[in-house]
Amino acid sequence: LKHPLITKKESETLIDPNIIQLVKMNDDDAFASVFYTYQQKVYKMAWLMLRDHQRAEDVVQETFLQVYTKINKLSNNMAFEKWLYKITVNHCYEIIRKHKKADLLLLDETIENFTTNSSVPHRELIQKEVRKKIITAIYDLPLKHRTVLILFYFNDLSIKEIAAIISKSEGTVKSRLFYGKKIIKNSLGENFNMDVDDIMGGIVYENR
Amino acid sequence: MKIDEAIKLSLEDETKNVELTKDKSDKILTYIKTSKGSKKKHYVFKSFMLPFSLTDVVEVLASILIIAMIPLAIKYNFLEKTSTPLKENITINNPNTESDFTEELNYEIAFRYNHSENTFRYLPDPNAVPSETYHSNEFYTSTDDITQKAPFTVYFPNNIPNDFQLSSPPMNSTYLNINKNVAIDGSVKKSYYVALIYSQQQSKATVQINQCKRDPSHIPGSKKIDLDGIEAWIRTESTDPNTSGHITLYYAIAGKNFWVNGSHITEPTLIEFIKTFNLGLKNDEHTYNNSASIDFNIIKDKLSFEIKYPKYIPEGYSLKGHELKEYTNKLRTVQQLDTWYINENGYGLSILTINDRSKPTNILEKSEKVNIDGMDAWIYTNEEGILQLMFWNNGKYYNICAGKLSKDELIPIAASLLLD
Repeated sequence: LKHPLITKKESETLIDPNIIQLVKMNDDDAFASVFYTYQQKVYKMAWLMLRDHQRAEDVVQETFLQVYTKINKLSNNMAFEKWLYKITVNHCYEIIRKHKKADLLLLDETIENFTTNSSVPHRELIQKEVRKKIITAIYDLPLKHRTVLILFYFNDLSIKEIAAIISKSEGTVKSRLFYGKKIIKNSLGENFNMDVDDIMGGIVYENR
Repeated sequence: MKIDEAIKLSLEDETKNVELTKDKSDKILTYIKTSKGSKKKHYVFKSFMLPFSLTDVVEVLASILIIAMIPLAIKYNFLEKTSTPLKENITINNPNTESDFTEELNYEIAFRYNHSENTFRYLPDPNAVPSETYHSNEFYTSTDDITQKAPFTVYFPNNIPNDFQLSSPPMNSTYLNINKNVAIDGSVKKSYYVALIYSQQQSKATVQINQCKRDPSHIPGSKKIDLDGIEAWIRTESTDPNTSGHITLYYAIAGKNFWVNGSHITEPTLIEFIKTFNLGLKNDEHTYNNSASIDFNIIKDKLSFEIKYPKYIPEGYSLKGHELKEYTNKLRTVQQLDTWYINENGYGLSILTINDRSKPTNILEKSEKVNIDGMDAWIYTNEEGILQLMFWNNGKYYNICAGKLSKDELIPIAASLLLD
């Protein structure tokens, strides 16, 4: 049984490894290609971590600057994406460390702007409500749990890849993922009917 | 809809309109290609090109200076000093006497709290939220914040084994974590702990030491060991030293409890690390053991002073129980009696009596001073808006706290305690 979330294998990346090789040879066009391929993903990821547009832009800039200057330290071109996300996470942590309370940012207008529109079908409203609660719960999570959830669900990374990125064991990643899902489930209360098996996430872990 | 799918869709939804504009993308790309960081990549080649800019010359001179300083730094041990923790043993809140229990007072005051209903409830709360579902936490990393906000004396050691040092960024090496809405002893309260994280330079070995001020807890499956005269409990989950977080160690010393988590380290190495870490605590005058009792027969036998009940209690409140806590340091024992009342809606009123003159000066500075029948008293409102009225009388400290009562309702209770 394959879980529907398994969308790619570990070795698949958005960019051809040969382009990475060209970047290593100081080909600026190749770098631009890598930059435009990943910039939005890095930006969105940083935004989910930091909830601040300006700081997310800073993360994009510092991440790709590091890619540009340190690409020769990457020995396996196939692992570029994982390396890129690790740099992104590190820069997010660095910003949080500098700004101390960034971890505590509360939900902003994006969440609060949720309004009930009578013309929207009831089912869609419930889905919106559920998503709002899920996002609220994610932002309420401690940073280390939020990071794992973002890498798993937003970046589609495997447990093993996340463990390498955050330098923790696979067991720790599973535990943080399980905890995060549990909190989210609790936050949904009776509005959401979920399978216990699904909450346990066993299928997901085994396959990813 | 499955939970995994729901989370994934929610995150996608959340970032649907989050985009880096073309203009900003282009600016970032231009910055990267022209920035100093990029220039360094080609520096070897650029250095042969003339003319040099002034910035480049300064950069080269600074590099030469730094390289030249390395032997000096090693000779005078600068590198070692920067890798050892922070300041000398920092003492906050209890600056004066050897028998001072200010730290315990501060702690009690900080913990008079209930997040869920913004009211004071002493009884074990049947609706207490389990600790893993706390709603929010606060996280501080600067030494100043940590020492100011922690309601206990934070211990920063002077000694750690030579081959260990505080972990490097981006991971925080020192932080204070305040979790709100944590279930402790059946009531919903705040929990505080300060973490120090050390790593070994030549390996992946990491030791995280959390210090807090909670009552001792049992680690299931642990074995008792001796840490140079201190009782400790250790549990090793894996004999493979390359496992993350596989050793847990717990002990209490100097009025605090320490939880240690070791990763990629052997048990003997961890124990030796902790023995060195503890050196600054061995002679701490505040080494004490706590004990607590809610059995009134035991309390009557143990209590060294007469229980004083207020002559006035607001309508609806009735006496429900007592709790005696004892704090013992090397010199003496003080007793803290909590007499608590409860009203028909379950809201509590607590009166603490402690046979000690210690004063939490940092809290008094933030309090409103009032006069009750010629006696000075202080009204303190903590971050959650919980009122506490404090005063000292006949060598004892009194603290009255009731989340549902106003300042004007607390004062008559205090006044009635002064009546013979």
